[in-house]
Amino acid sequence: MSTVTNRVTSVVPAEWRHQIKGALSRVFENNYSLLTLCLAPALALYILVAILPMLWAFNLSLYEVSTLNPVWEWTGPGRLIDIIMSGSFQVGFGRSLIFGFGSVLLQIVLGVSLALLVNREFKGAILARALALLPYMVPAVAIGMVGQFMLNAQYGVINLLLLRIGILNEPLAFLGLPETAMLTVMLVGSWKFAVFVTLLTLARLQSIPENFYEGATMCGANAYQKFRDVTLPRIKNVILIAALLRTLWMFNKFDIIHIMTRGGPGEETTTIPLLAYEIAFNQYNLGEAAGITAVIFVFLAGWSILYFRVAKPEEEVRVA
Amino acid sequence: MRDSKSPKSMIRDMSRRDFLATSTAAGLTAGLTGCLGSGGDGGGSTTPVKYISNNNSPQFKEMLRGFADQFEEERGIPVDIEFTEIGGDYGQRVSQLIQAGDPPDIINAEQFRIGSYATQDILRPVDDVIEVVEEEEEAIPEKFGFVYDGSHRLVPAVASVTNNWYRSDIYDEMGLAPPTTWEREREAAQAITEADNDLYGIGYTTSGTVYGSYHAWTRLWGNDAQVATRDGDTVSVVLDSGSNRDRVREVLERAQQMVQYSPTATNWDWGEIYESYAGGTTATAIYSGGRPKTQSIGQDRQWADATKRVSNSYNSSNRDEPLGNSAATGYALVQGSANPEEAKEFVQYMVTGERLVEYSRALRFHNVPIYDSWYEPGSVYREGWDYLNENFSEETIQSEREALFSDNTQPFTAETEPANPYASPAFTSFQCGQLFYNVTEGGMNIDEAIDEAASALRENTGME
Repeated sequence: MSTVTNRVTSVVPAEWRHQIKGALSRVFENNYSLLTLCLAPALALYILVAILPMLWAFNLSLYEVSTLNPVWEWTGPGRLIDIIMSGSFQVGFGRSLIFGFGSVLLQIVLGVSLALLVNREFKGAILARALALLPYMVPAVAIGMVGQFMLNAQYGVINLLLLRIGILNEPLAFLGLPETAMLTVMLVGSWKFAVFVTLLTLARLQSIPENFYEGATMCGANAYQKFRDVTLPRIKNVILIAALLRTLWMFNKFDIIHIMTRGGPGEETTTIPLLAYEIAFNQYNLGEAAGITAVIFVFLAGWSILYFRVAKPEEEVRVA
Repeated sequence: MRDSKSPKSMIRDMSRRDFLATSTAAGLTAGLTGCLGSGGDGGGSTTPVKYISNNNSPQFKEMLRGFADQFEEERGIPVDIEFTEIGGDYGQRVSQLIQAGDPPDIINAEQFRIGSYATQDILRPVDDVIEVVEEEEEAIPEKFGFVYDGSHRLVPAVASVTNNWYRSDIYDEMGLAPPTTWEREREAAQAITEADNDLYGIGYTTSGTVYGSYHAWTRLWGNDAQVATRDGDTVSVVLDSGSNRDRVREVLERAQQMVQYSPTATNWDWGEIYESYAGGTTATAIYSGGRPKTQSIGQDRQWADATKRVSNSYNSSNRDEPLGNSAATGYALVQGSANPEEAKEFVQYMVTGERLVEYSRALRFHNVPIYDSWYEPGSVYREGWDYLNENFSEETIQSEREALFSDNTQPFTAETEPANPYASPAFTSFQCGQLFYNVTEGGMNIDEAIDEAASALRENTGME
């Protein structure tokens, strides 16, 4: 026995120890009790870090609360209607849709392409796979800051490169122009998060038996036909799952936009999370900010349910 | 016998359920004994004064921790300093503590931000602190304070003033006059931008950021345009009213003209404006404080010495009205905190004597002293401080001093008398910066943009 156990044994009377052990043995012999006990820590943690803050935020959204004052004044659910009807919310919601779905589209295209590329067998394939996954390990904060630095109109390497090869005549403020800011942030964000799609797709690709392709080759299928008839049906549902998860995450994305543009230029990249942040910490209206997040939560929950009903991505994954 | 088995065989014979039961029993009993044994020394410690600081550079951390240690040694009062980033992170942390019912004793506060705290009635009066500080140092000019509901709420430590920094080497070489007026500024910006020197004439920011807000408001003052006015207890937005609206329109028309002599600055904040100057991209930069010059010095730029200041440029019809912002930075005490008296004592300690000299010097003449006598050669602040005396000409030091103590510079809260507490939420709503963006890069009609900004300010700030 360990030193600690010896010490415990010396402190606690033997009779107590036997009683406790007996009681616990009875509990553990019951499958339901054991299941409950095994799940309880994770469940408690989940409730503590996810459910309770969510309920707290929903409750908060029904009150007028200043960020700088702990006094809560009841406003009621009408506040949520006011939020939905407000122009700033609707515009921000539109930007979130563009950023969320646009980013996911980019990530799916980039992620699946990368997965197909590194799935091939070639010399150094393992190294290539490891390198391909590297961006996912870099914190979004670092990517945002480096991206901002590289895209700087005065000293950014991207502008220097584009000027040198003659694509640009003068430096372009990618993050400062309304026409380019949103797309630029989407591209930088997607560079990192496309790797998530790559990870899922690659795992699925590697589970496709090689003889499927051999069979297709024997039937005279070309590369496109193999992709269409062998690969795509098998990765389709993984892509759908990845698309769902990434949409939820990108819709709520805050860090990379905040770092790169702070919602600007003007309010061109002020998506819903940035709007909520601005209202909470620049306008000091915590209640309204909580209301915005509550509305978005309901939207995303509804969208997820609808997505599962229509796309049924879980079916293929379950079979796999 | 079971006891004779080796530990490995014991583990093999034990079922998972047995193991779980034994280990849980051991854990529970160990936990119980631990709990029972921990109750011996419950009282007697002094609750530290809690100070949330937004000075989080290594140098400032070391200095402030040193002040706290000295203070504890001398007075027997411990101080716990938590450092956060300036800006949003700072506000988040302060609000977290307030919402959690555990407010800090001391917070950093700037004149442009303090109104938001004051209007929520979370700041303690600090008149007695100011009285003690003035006895020990000298009278603090009234404009560096912030009075709300009849009491001072800010203990100012240092201040910054609007400086229009320009590269006198370029200006002199091209025969340009310093950018004191709108017209001189435009002429210089155009000439420098059009010359073949890889320089923009000016960094003219039109962004919805803290700096964008500051720049826009400063530009409005350059044409005697106001954001707010007061009638008794009512503070109203006047951006869109009467002749003031005409002046706002003139400022925006000027902004549309000036952005062509600037790099695209639609998302610039403080960092970008001083970096563009110190990095050699722009030749003129308006700034609250000295960073364009101090950064040029720090980066050993050849134009560091040639970096000179004038005050905010003005439209010729506005020679006598306040031109620029003079903003004090200091400390505020939060209602409901645990150690109000000890906190007052620590603030007094920080803003007097050698601590304030050390603190002010650490700011490298970006933020500057609020005491007029400190600018005299031979003062305790200047004497022996090589950095200031070697890098800043006497002309620049005295020019900044004159601007700081002149009636021509005031905090944004001074648009109304008594001070406008809603200037803070107006400032941090970034609506003024957004207004400039809308009429330049945003492509919005000027009148439409003015109406939108005025309406947003009424909606979000408490002004009518």
